[in-house]
Amino acid sequence: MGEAILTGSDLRKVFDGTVAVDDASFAIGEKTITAIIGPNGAGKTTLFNLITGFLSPDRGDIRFRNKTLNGTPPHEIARRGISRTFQDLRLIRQMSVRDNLRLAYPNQKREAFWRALFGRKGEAEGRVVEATLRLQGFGSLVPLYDELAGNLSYGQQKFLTLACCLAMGAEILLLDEPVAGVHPDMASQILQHMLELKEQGRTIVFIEHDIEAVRRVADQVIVMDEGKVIASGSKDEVLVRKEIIEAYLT
Amino acid sequence: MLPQLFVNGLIAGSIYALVALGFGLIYSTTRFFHFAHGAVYAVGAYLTYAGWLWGLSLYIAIPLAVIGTSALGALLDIAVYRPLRKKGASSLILLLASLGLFIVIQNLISLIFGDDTKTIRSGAVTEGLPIFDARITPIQITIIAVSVPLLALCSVFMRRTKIGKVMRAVANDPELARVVGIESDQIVLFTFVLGSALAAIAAILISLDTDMTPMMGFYALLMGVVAVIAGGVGSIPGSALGGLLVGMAQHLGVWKISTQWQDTIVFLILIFFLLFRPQGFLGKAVKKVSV
Amino acid sequence: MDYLLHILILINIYIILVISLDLIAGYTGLLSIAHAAFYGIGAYATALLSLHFQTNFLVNMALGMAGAALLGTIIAFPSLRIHDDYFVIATFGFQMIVYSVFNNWVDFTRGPLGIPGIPTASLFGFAIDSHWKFLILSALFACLAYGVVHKLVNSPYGRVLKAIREDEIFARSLGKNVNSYKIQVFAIGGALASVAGNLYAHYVTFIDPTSFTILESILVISMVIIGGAGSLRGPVIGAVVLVILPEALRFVGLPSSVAANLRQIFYGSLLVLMMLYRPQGLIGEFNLQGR
Repeated sequence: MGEAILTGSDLRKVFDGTVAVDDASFAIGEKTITAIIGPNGAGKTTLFNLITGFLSPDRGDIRFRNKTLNGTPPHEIARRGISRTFQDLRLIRQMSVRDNLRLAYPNQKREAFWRALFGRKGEAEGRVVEATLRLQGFGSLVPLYDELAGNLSYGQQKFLTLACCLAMGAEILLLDEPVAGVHPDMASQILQHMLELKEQGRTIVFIEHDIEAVRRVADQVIVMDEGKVIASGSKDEVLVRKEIIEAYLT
Repeated sequence: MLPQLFVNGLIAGSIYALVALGFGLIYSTTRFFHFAHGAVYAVGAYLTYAGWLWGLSLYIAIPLAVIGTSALGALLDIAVYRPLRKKGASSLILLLASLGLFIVIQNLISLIFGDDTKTIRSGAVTEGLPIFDARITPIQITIIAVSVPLLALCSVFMRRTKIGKVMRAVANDPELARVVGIESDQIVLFTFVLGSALAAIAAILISLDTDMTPMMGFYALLMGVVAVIAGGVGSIPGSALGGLLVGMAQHLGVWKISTQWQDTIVFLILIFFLLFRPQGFLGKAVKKVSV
Repeated sequence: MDYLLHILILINIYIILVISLDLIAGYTGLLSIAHAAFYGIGAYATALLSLHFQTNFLVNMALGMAGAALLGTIIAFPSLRIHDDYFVIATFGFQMIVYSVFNNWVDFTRGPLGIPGIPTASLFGFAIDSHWKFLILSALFACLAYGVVHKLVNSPYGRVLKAIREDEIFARSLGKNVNSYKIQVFAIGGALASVAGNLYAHYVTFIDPTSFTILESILVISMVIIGGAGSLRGPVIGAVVLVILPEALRFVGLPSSVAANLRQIFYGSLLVLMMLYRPQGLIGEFNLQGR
C-alpha cells in the first residue's frame, strides 16, 4: 500500500438527533481501491459528504495530501482533485452526454463571464476531453454523445458519471454504489474500468452492497455500522472475519 | 403616544393574525404560497358592500359574504389547484397560477366596483373611548373582541376536533399523512374554505374601521406572508403570533421612524427571517435539498 | 402610425426586460419577482442625473447599470441559502423595499409626485426627439441585450447556468462555484433591466413609482413564463403577445380605466391557463418542473 493520501480522524456528524458518523477514522492509500461496506444508514454516504465538503463535521479532521479539507466548499474540493458520484445518480438529464462531459472538464476559460462574452468560439477544449476519454476506454459513450443524458439506460448513466469524474482530471474518485442496479454486463465493464483506473495511478473509494464486486476489485475494505468504523484493513483480512461475514455478508 | 401606538398595533396585529392564519393553514396543507388569498380577502369586504347596496342589513350581508368568500376559496381549489396537483405541478407552478388568479380577481373587483373607496360604515366618525392614555373606537374594540376569540376558537378546533387533528397531521408531515391514507383532497378543500372564511372576516372587520379599496387585498397579503414567515411556516399558533408581531412592529416602529417607512420595516423583517431564521419563531426547520 | 411606433418601442423595452429576466429565471432557474426594482433604478438614475447634473443618457445608463448590479448582488445573497419558493418571497420583499424607497424618499425621488420633464436622450449631439428615432434607439439596445445574453447562454458559461438550474449539487461536485454564478446572473440581469428603465424614462419623460411596482414584476415574469422560460425566443414572443393583444382592447372603444383592468385580467387569465395546460410556455423548451 502506498502513502495515505486521504485521511479522516475522529469524525463526528450529528443531524436530526441521530449520530450519522461516530468517531470514524480512515486512511486511504494512494493508487488503491478501497471499498466501504455496511448496512443502510451506516453513515457511508455521510462520510462521502463530509469528505467532499457537502457537510461539515461537528468534530474531526479530513486531510488530502496532508492539507486539511475542513471548511473548504465542495467546488473547491472538486478542483483540488477529489471527484464523486451520488447514490441517487446525479447528472444533467436535460443536457446531452457531450455537454455533461464538457461541463466536467476543468479550467475552461469560457466558463467565466468576460471570456464567454468576448472569447473566440470553438470548442477545442471539448475535443480534447473527448479524445482523452476515448483513449481511456470510454469509447462506448461516443455514439451516445448527442443523446440527452436522461434518455440513457440506468447503466449507461452510471458509466457516464464515472466518465465525468475522469473528465475532471480527478486524482481521487469517490463512487457511491457504482454498480448497484446495473445490468451484469455493464457492471462488469464498470468494475474493469475501475481496475484500469487504478493502473493509471488513480485512487478509488467506493460504496457497495455487492460483495462480489468488492471481492473482485477492492484492495482495502472498510466496514461501517451505525456511524462507526467496525473494521478496516486489506480485503483478505477483513472479509474472512467471522463476525463480518455473519453480520454483513449473509 | 406610545400607548396609542400599542393599541393601533394590537388592532392591526389582530387583523393580520386572521389573514396569516388562513394563509398559513393553506400553506401547511398544500405546501405552496396561495397568493390569491389576498384577493379572496378583498372579495369578503366587497361582497358585504354589494349586499348592503342591495338593501340587506349588515347582519345579513356579512354572514352571506363570508359564505360567498368561502365558496370562492373552494372554487379556486377545485377549478385550478386540484387539477394542477393531480398533474404533479411543482410549488412554483402553483405559485405562478395563484399570482394569475390574484390579478384576475383583484381586477374584477376594480372593474365591477371601481377603484374609489367604498364604505359600509354607518354613523359618524366617533372620537373613541379613552383607555390608558389611548383612544379606541367601538369598532376597533369589536375587531379585537371578534378576532381574539376567533383565533382561540380555531386553536381549540385544531386540537379537539377530528378534522382539526387531521389538518395538523397533514401540515406536520404530508408524506406520512398520504401513506396513512388521509383523504388529502377533502382536507385541502376544507382548509381553503376555512382559510377564506377567516380572510373574509378580517376584511370585513377592517372595512368597518377604515373602508375598502380594491388594493386592500394586496396589502393584507403582504402582511400575511411576512406574518407567516416570521411566525413560522407550518405552525398554526405561529401564524397568529407572526400577525401580531407584524402589526406591532409596523405601528411601534412609528415611534422612532416616520410613518412613511412603516411598510419598509415589515419587509426588512421578512428578509431578516428568510436569511437567518427561515423557520420563523415557531416553525420547524426548513428542509434543504438532501445530498 | 405614431401609435404603431409607440407599440414597437414598448415591445423593444419589454424585450430587454424579458431577456434579462430569462437569464436569471429561465436559464439559471432563479425565479424572481424583483425585476421591476432594477427597471426602476435605471429609470430613476437617468431621470435624476440628467435633471440635476445634465449628464448624457449613456453616462446615466452606465451609472444606473452599476447601481442595479449592486442591488442584484444584494438580492442574490438570500438565494444562496434559501430554498426555491422562499426565495421568490425574498425577491418579493426586496421588490417592495425598493418600491417603498421610490415612493417614500420624497426628498430624493419626489415620491408619488414623480419626476417630470426628463430631457431628451442625445447620442453624440444627435437628439433622439421623434418616435422614429426612439424606435431605432430602442431597437438597437434590444438587439444588443439579446446579443449579449444569447452569446452568454450558448457558451460554456451558459452551460454552467443550465447545470445549476437542474442540479446545483452536481454542478458543485464538478468544481463549479455555484454561489458566484448566482450572484453574477443577478448583477448582469439587473444591469440589463436598468437599461430598459433608462430608455423608458427618456421615452415617456415622466416617471413615478407606479410604473415599478410588484405588478410590473409579475407582468415581466409572466411574459417570460408564458413565452417559454429558458429559450430567449420564448420570452420575446411572450413580450410581443402581452404588449400587443391587450392593446387590441383599445380599438373596442372602452374607457381607459376599464381597458386597464381588462388588460390585467387578460394576462392574469393567460398565466393561469398556461400553468394549467402548458406550463413550459409557448416555446416550451424548459419545463418548470425540470427537477
